[in-house]
Amino acid sequence: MLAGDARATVLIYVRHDCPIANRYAPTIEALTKHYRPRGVEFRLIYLDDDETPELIARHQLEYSLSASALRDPAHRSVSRTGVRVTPQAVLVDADGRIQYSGRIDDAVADFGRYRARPTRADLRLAIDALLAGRNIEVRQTKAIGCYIPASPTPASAPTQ
Amino acid sequence: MNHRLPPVRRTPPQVAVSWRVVRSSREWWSALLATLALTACGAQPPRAELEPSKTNTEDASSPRPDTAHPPPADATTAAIELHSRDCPRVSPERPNYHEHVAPILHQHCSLCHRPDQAAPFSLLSFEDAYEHAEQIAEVTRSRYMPPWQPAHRGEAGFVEFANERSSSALEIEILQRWAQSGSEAGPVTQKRAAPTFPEGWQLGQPDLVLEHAEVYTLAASGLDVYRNFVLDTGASSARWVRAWEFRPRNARVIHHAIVNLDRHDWARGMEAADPLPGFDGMQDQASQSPGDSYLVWAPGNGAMKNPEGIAWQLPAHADLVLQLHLQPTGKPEAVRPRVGLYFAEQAPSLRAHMLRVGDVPIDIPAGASEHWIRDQYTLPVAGRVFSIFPHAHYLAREIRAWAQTPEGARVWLLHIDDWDFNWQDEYRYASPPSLPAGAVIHMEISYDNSSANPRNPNTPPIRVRDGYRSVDEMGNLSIQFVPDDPKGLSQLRESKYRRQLARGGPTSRVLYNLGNIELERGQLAQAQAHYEQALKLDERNHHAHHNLSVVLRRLEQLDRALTHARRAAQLAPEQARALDQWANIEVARGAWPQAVQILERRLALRADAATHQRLATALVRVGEAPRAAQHLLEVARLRPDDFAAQVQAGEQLARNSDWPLALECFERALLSRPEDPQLMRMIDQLRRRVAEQR
Repeated sequence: MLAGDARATVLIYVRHDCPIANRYAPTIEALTKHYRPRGVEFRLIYLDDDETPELIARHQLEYSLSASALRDPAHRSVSRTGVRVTPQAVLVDADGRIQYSGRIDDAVADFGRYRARPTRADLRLAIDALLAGRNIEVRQTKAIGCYIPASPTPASAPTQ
Repeated sequence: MNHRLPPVRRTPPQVAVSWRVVRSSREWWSALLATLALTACGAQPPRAELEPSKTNTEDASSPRPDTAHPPPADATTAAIELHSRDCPRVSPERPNYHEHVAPILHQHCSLCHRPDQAAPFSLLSFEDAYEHAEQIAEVTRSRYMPPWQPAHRGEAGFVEFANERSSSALEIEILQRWAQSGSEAGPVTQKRAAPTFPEGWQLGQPDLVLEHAEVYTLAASGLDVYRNFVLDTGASSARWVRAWEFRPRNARVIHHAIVNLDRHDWARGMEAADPLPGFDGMQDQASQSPGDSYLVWAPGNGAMKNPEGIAWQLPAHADLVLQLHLQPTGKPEAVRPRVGLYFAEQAPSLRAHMLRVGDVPIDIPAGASEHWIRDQYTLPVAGRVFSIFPHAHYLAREIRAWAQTPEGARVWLLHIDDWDFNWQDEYRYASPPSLPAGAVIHMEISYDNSSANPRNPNTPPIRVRDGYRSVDEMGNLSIQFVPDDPKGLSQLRESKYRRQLARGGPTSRVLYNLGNIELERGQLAQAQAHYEQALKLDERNHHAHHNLSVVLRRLEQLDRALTHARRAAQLAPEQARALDQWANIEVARGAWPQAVQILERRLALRADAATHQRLATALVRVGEAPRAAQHLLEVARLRPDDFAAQVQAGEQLARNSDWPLALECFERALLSRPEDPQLMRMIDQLRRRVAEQR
């Protein structure tokens, strides 16, 4: 799951039809580009079984998302990260420890309630602290977004 | 509106009415209604108790309905409906999708939550609902969905609206329990088909479909965009519009749309000055809503039909100005919606007036968490309130509107607890409240300009005042009011302008509007005084010059009328009506050469049949018969079905020995009266003449 020799990896859980995650696409892309030369790799994780590789590729193209995409229809990463909604960010250090989990920033105050501009960029603050070797002040925040079903839909669950 | 609730199994409803203690007819009725309500919910009515016990002597007072004072029929029906919507509040412990959840979602959600509509995902099938069970539970609990701002049933200030889309407390409870108890599908035997919705235009092909010439591209990110687009109606005569429909095409981007009218080509100028399609602005001041309706579309609104008997007027040569509130989605989006208009055959039987309450000065200190503005308006005439459209920007929190009758009764018109600019809509009364003359409409709006308000566009908060930009605030109600007596319209308009006069001081525009009211009433001297005052304040108000000229002509002051007609035409050279008026006065003065000159200018602006006709008349007067004949020929060609026009042109052309063209006109006339012997003789003669000429 972790990018080879990266100093840190950021997992962003998204969903192709989640309007909140989609509205974050330009922000996610800006962060991806900003941190790539600083040794932090961004990975997009798609959880829905219906999100085929073709659909994911089209989604990334439409929303100009250059980070690599991962598929996790069995939700194997969910038990480790505990994510509940999309978009949610998880910052993992080089040793595989979760250093931050939560919202990207506070632009979304509630469903349908967007701030004109965010007042706190939590993910950025956490990454910068990690890179600078400082203490990360806030390690967990509540992300607001589209809920991830507790387990794949029974009707469409792959038999394992 | 609300769906029929699932049959109640666990706790059969009990009728908690003892008929023995029923004393008044009022109590008798409420007991009966409670019983009927339970019946409506599927319970067995306790039949044995419907009639009061005859053996009980205590009932002698008046257990039966008081036939002398029966409750009004309306009240009875309304009460029965109210009860049947408010069935006993018992949710099954483990609701399942097919029996309990699907009916709720299909009724309240699927209209938008289906492919190609405004909502981000569908809610049509079990799989759809299962995936979003937790989110459905949360957003219905917080009342974010279904989006409905006014007070809900049972809350303070509840009013029943025809376009209500709120879900009941029981429905919300069922959705919570379903999410918490494993979101079961339930018995397949109970499975129902997903609802179907009409494709395309909801009311059939509109009489007129409008769309912008160019596609606008909304950027992937950034703040919300307010963009206006001018739609050319091409309407050469005024039309009444009975219904309209907005089709967004790209439903996920357009949060709401407002349609205004522009009679003066102002919006075109603004669009021309903007390099991209359309022009920016939250509220362009060039256009106005039609005088008797407020035209707003929000996601989920289908075709917008006026209440029976009401229509709004699309004036000739007016543009529609479409204002869109666009929300970036994360990728560039194409925007090119369509508007469809359905015309009425006749003028409407009811004439509405838009009351405007509010628009008082606003000055909210930075950080103030509860700042109120208030306004009130006294109705000069009696009438009914059909709809209400509240408007404010991001800081507004609570909106209250009510009417106080002269007898002291208080009638709620609207109560919004937590205003959300994103979901503004027009609310149409299920039964339009009647208000007497002298009733006072009150408005109160509170604003939260603290940093704790996440909708505050400014961090940190700054002082906010009234204005049209999204960082300014507004606060007003547009109320569609139909006076009981149509003559009340002019009183309503007058009171509106008098209010503006009192508030903003005299402006040229308000005085001009007051002049128009006097003109309509035939009070020429008063109208003249208002227009003259309007011109004192703004000598360049060409509308006032024009109408003053109309008044002076009626007062037989032709020289002064001429001065103002000339000035109007000078200030607004592109306005056909200014030249028409000028020509009228020249004709009235008998100044035919001048009339010819003005009408030629007028024709260059727009070559319509009426102007050709007038010019022909003037040319005959100055002895230019051949030129007159040419214009009559144009009239005949523009109005091929007009028999008289063909004959008139044909005769004039024949007089000038223009045989082939005269023949053309008479042959067209023959199409209207194929058997006319006189015509046929004339045509024979002309044919011979044409042959001789060759």
